[in-house]
Amino acid sequence: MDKAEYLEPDLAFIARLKRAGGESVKKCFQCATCVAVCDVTQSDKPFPRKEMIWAQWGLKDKLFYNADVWLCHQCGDCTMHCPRGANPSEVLAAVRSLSLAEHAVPGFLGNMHSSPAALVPLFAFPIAVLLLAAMYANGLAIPAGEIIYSRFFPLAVIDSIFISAALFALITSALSVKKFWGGMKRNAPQKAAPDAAAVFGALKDILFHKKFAQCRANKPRYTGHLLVFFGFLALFATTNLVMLYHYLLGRETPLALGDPVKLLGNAGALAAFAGVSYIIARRLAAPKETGNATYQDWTFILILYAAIITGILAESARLANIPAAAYPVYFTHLVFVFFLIAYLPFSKFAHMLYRTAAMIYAASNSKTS
Amino acid sequence: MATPAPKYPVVVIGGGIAGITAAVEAAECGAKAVLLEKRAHLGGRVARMHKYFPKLCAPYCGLELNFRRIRENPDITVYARAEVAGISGQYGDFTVKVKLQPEMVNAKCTACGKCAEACPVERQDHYNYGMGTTRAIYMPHPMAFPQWYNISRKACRGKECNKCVEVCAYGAIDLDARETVFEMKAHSIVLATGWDPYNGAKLQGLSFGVSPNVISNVMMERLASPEGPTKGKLLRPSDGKEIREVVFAQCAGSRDENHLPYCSSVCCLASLKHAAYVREAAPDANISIYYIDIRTPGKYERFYHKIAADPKVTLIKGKIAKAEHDPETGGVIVTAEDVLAGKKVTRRADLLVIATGMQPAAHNGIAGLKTDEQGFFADGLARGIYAAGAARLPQDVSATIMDATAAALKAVYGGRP
Repeated sequence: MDKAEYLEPDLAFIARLKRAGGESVKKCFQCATCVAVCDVTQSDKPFPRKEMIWAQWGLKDKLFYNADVWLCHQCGDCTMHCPRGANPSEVLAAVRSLSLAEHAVPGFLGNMHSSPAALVPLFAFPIAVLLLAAMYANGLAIPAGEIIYSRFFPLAVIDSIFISAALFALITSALSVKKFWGGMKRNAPQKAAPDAAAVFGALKDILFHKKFAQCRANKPRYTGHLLVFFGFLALFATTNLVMLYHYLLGRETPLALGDPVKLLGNAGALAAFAGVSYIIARRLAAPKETGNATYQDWTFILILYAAIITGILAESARLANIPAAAYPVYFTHLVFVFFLIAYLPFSKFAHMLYRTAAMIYAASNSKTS
Repeated sequence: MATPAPKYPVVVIGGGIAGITAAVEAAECGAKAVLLEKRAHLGGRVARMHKYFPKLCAPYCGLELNFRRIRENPDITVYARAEVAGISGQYGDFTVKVKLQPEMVNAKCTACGKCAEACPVERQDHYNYGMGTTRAIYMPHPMAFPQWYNISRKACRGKECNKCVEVCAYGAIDLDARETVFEMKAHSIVLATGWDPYNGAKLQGLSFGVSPNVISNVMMERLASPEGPTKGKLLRPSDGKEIREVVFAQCAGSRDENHLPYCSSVCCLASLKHAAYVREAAPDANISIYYIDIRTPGKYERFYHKIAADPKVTLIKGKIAKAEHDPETGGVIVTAEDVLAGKKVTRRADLLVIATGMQPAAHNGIAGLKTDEQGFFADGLARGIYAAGAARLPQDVSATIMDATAAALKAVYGGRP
């Protein structure tokens, strides 16, 4: 070390971390068993031992602006082998949970996503917007005849709402990640800017779930996450393809069940449903292996589940031709989807932003070392 | 103090260094003493060391002295192959029920060794922790006391074979001998049942019992001993190759709530001592000791500094939590974090010694006596019953001897439990 480092422990942060699921942090005695049994960590400045002592010392800045906290995939191997019950896996999960609010731009939305009371305004907003839109479009009346959702919400209305939501998410995501990235640079200056190889390497690891595959204690999560991940990817693609159909080809929804885009959407919905069901079942059946779930974990899982289930129900009700059920369910579905998309950088959904950023940052850093 | 000598003997359970010391000290204080040992020979774990602290001499220099004190003192009676089946009564008037295993070899044995030459059965050598074999009739090592052969009842084929009986010129072998049970009166009781090494096979991921090149610290004592399975030669167990890299894994199962939650207080010094063995037996070998904290209490700090200063010895802060067979070299690959360097490291080793801790011997549960949650005898059992040595808490030989002397004093005079 070139010069002495002046450390300022943040005691309030330690208390906050303990409340967020890291209550065992002080049990760690730095034996480094965790690093030895972790198959996900890199060899140079490995995690999670160093994060444990940072957490014990309340070094908030080092923890929040550090790629390694996000390289951890909460496999739980460290927790399983920890000789002290210090549960490094849970402590790092708690750090990530607090990070969501820390990095969020605007900050108040991040804070709202860590408080159950804030669920009311968070849901009230899309409900109000969608109600107003439906009133404007058709006076909230349930359209007669064949169930066609675009009669309830004309496509132009839906698209303007959801494209706005997506744009908002995109901009706030960019700002939040920028804040995180800047902090990482401050704490661990980069040796090289990320190049295409670093980016593609990280994306490949994410796509193939390479890190999840290295977990041992919580191996089944690989399957659960893979199903949700590709299910969601398929649904995202479906949404965009439907837009292309409409604006380029003039083909309208509902699509025939045999249409390739419809097939993709239904397959995605089923995969995501199976994945989230499996994840919830595992969390309930094996809480020790899956690790502590934070407030953000549960809200994200349940809202995702609600979006998927209402989506499947809306399609079923339409096919069964029950307008009284179909339109309200469709409305509910849109509320949940709005929640997921518009609030992406503030909910647990944001793990995809920070983990991807961390993986790219780490890849570009290790390359030249 | 003009206290009359106790009416009944002080009964000491366990013939290791603690029990021997307690019996000898009690007898030399004027009491009678009975020493009960469940194996055929005295000396316990200490007899199986190559060298021991504080002077790093062979254990027999101390044990021989004690054996002479036993032989020369008519007030000490030793029962080998004796187990305690029950204790009742109170201070000054206990009744101890003793189960004596069949005396298949009796005191007429001159240790000539003809029986073992004739014996056709090979068995695993438990004295050497399973490294090597002996015949079913065997002497665990040349210095064993009492000097008589012992028969493994599990391995012996009995009268159908009878070869040992045929060659014994002294009529010392009786394959028909039966177990006997008797009761004796006791003034007081000293529990010196000792310790067992923690079973390394319980440590997931360290390959103990999977790779022959992963051994425990107690096995290292036997490998280094000139009376051990390799006559003191230090070679790779799997293939007898020369050893170039030796790695020690400290706290193997110790200070670990999944295994032994406490520090045994001796394993760091044991590994440092083993490093000295390796320096003698394989002077070119590199030695790495991976630790959480090196704990060398009291005056042993100097020994620690001496070993640490050796250029062939490297101390690395970070626990080894993974050890796998190395298909390339036939050795072992260990994984740890080098905490001070901030790097996750792997190292190839020819020999991995896991420093397993001390747990109370499995038979500590005798007669429903109170133990702590780890199985060590609790303090304050009852007036007249005193635990000593590693049966009470993990400790080294010097501390055990002091502990046993204190227990002997209490046992004679009925001290507070």
